[in-house]
Amino acid sequence: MGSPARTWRPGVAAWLRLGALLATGGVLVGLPLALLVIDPPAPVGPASPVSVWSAVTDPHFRGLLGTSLRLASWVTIVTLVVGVPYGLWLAWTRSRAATPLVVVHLLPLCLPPYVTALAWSSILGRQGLAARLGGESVGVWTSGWYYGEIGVVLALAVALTPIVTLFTAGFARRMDASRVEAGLLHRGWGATVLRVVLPMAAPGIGAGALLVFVLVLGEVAVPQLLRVRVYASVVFGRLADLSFQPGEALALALPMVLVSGVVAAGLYLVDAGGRQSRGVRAPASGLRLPGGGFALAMGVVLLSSAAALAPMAELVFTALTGPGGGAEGLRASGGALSNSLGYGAGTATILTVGAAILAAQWSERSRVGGLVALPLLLGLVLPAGVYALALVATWNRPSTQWLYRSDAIVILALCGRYAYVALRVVKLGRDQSPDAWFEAAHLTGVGPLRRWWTIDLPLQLDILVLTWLTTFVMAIRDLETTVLFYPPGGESLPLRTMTLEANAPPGLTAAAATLQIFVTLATLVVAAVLWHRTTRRVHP
Amino acid sequence: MTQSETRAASIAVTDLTVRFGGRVALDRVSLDLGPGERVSILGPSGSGKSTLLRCLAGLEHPAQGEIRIGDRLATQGRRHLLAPRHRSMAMVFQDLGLWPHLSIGQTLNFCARPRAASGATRSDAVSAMVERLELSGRERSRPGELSGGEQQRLALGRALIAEPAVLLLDEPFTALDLLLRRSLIEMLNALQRELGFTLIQVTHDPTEALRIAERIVLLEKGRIVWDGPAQELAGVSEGFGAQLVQALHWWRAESPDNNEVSA
Amino acid sequence: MIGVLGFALVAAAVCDCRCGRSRSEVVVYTSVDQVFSEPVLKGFEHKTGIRVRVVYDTEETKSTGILNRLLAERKSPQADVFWSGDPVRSQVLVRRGLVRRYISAAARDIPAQFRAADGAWVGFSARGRVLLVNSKKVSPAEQPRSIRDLIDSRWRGRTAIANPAFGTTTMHMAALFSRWGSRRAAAFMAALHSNGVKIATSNGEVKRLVVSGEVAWGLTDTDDAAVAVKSGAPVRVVYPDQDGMGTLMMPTTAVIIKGGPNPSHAKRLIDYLVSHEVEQRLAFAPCAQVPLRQSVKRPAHVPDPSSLRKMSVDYGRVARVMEQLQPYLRDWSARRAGAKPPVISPRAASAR
Repeated sequence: MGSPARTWRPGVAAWLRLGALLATGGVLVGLPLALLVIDPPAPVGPASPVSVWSAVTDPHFRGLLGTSLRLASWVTIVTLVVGVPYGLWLAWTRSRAATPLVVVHLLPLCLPPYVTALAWSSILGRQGLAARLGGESVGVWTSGWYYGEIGVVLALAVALTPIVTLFTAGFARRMDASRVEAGLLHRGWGATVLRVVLPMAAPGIGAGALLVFVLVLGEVAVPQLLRVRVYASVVFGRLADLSFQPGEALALALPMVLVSGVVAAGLYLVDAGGRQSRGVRAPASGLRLPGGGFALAMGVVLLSSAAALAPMAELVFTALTGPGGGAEGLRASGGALSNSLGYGAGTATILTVGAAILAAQWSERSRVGGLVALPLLLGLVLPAGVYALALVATWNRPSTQWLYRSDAIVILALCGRYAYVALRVVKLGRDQSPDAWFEAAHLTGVGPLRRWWTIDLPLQLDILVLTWLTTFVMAIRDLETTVLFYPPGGESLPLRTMTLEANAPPGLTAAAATLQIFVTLATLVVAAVLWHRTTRRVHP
Repeated sequence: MTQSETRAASIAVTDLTVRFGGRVALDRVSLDLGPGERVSILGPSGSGKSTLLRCLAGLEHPAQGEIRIGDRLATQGRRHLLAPRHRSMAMVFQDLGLWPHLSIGQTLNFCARPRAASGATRSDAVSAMVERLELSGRERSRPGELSGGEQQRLALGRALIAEPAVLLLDEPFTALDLLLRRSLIEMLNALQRELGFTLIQVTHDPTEALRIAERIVLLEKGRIVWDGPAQELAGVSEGFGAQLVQALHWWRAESPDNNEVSA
Repeated sequence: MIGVLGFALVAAAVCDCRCGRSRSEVVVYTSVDQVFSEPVLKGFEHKTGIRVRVVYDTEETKSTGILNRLLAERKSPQADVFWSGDPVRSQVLVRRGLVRRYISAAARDIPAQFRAADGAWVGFSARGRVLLVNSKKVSPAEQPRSIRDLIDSRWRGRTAIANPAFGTTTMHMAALFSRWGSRRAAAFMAALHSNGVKIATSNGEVKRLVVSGEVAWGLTDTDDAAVAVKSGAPVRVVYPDQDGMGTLMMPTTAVIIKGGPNPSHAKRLIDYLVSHEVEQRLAFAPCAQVPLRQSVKRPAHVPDPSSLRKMSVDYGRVARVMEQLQPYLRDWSARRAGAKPPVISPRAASAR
């Protein structure tokens, strides 16, 4: 018996999903941004075109913009210097130590940058470890330069270097080993890396650098902790202090929104470029660095591990032994911990399910899909405060109080901010899986549901769990997105860490940060094990 | 059993055109195949031969043209009227695409389901196929634990256990050594004689094409440049076909003494 | 789409349980440091069984902007009570008509200067603006006695204040402008620059500078000073201008938000906050706040409120001056040439 002659239109399903993706981006990011402009949440100050222009051209603001751009440039440079060698080493190493080292390296990225800055201040601050070891004058000296632009660069570089590492490693791993080996037959390692490897990995490295740059521009909490006046904090100052000027804040935020838009477009183009090289799947993991290069890479790896781990260790030590800390201090932050876990689990579950459904099509038709996902990408790179204000403008109205007054508003905000991350991780998993797996299943004649259950789901299970873990970590690390509207009594761990920082005994603040570190570390370890398994299965 | 009636199907391709962005991969290709015919599509890399195969399977969307399988219209322009799984086609992929999480038994069982609904008939079919593939005793092994030849046989078995009307081969043997290639081709030919499916093979290797097919289609830059019985390939006197024939002669006449080439 | 659906489900579920709770809860936004306010609010929970849900603010990260959040939420207020760490933030809400008047019987014995007669706001447990002196660097004999000592050439380059563009220092400057008028106050501000006063990023930083001896003394808040004293650092606290205009006191203040979800519980919370119990608790806390009632028990290092000469200020006027003053203070702290203060006439608060 032949099969019934059914009309099959894969196009419809695909377009439906792309439409859903576009709608998701529209509701989560596009609509709030539009409403922010059309119907701002508070009486807008003098925001005539003239005042917008004068605000942007005011030498005071220009000076601050200069500071912000300088900080962003320095952080980007440092992350490149550390992240690129680290990424190349990671792409090619077969060392067993790689997994634990990478977990340590990723830890600061998965924590709020504020916690990293706090951790470093527990070493370099006036009463920090340096002062305890070397005397008060050492503490005065270290805190003198740490509480300033150098400190901001240090803390944010530690926090954001893993982005460059991941992008570099991703591109280097996709590189055909024979291309690198062909270079090695003619030239040494140095020349091959400079002339062959780096140009081929340039789109990845560039994308990572762009992302770092824009994240530094939008960062508010770290410069404030370290008492550096930056453009972003002035924008939010206009929303927060007594010179409350939402109109002016909006005007001042415009350059940052524009920069975010440019970065989003840049990332999209890099993604498009990456697609073209997708055919090559031979992993270049058999490459072995020569002695000098290996020593250099190991130096970078160990240095960055120390930069991530040492301050965290000191912070944990403070939490356990410092005034206000200990078991009592940890217990005091229990409520915030359970809030964080709730937000994280809710966000991760929704994003994983959504991405599993929507990302398949996104992956197969990336050109359109990339454009369709652009609003979600914008949601990720927008300054958090601007996005938060847009959400207030959208949801704080009498008809939507059921949402705005509940924890769901936090989850909604986090979904808007991190949906793109979920799509990327699922797509990454898809790219690691040969098309033939799914096409062969398609041809078997087995029904779609059974096919999904027997082939698609098991093959993607690891990556879905990984997506869940990634978005979970992103959600529990978030600080600035939800600070404007988290429900009363629903403060998350990062928020509590920040609100406690004013005048609380150091042990109590450190305890809140420590809980965050432990939850993040545990999640990372599980994710690392899973990732290890997934990649090993694909490239046995 | 009524399988022999459906086992082979005729295929009619009319004016099939496929574009990737601005590039034309297939340019108004028309092709008729009788039931049970064994055809090799021969062409250099980039000639569009894999694309043609994937269009037949319903995995690629053409810009225009028609594909009929038996008496049913399967593809018309951009629209697939028959889903891949309703075309009664099976395919052996170039990189095999074996499912890493399923054992030999599980893989075959999964693919046998559409033909054999009851568990008993299915497990009979699976053990018969395992025996046929000379994989007895390895039912519980997963692809990662198999040798290259065993993986090839599993891929072939996976394709055939559903008793397809058409078997599509996308250069699955190119990476194998000569001896392994020979044993697999012999196994394939025996299975084809026994089961009678229509066989379409895509390759760039004329010797392999001649061992499998009774009819050869030459494809160059997305167009069919020659189409005829395998034994007439030697008579092609122009274009890509002629070069191919010359190269074939060269191999047969000179390769044993030519150290440069064999090195 | 399924994501959105799941979303709606979660939202509905969460909303359900929140609404279910709302009958026995009260929502507070506070800019009083969490470490001090949390125990007080827990005390209210214990006493009444009413659950308190809190949004905290910090001094260092103004982007949290409780005040901003209150203004942004004006269309549908979420908070019942705003407990401000200073008297002027409440005034901003009063002026914008966002508060609901309530005269608490429990606040009857609070001096009239520290509460609105019409019940718009009520003050209690105050911080003061004090001089923190490093006793190793300054002998008791030469100890500064007035904030005008900041511009005394004797102390050139040896004193510090926090940046007047932010925090309580803004309020202090506004109080001076309000009291002295813009001419005299602006001359004072210019003299701060010319006398080499260090501009620290916050009051906490002033404390650190004094403790480490980098400056001889500085102008800061009582809570920062108390932390320094408690840490055993060689410092003394001086309440300035006891023989002149008096020390600027900044009561914490509380207002009820108009249209908040739990109005009756809001009143109970206000009654509790202005009680003797809370003033006493905050006097004994590390912030060592000064109770406004003499009858409240206090530790030895907290001064007697009745013996203390307090600067007489109209907090409503100070709040207005503060908003006018903001651009000037920004220019001043950026040391921009030609920074011009707004015209403000001198006036002491009406004798209350």
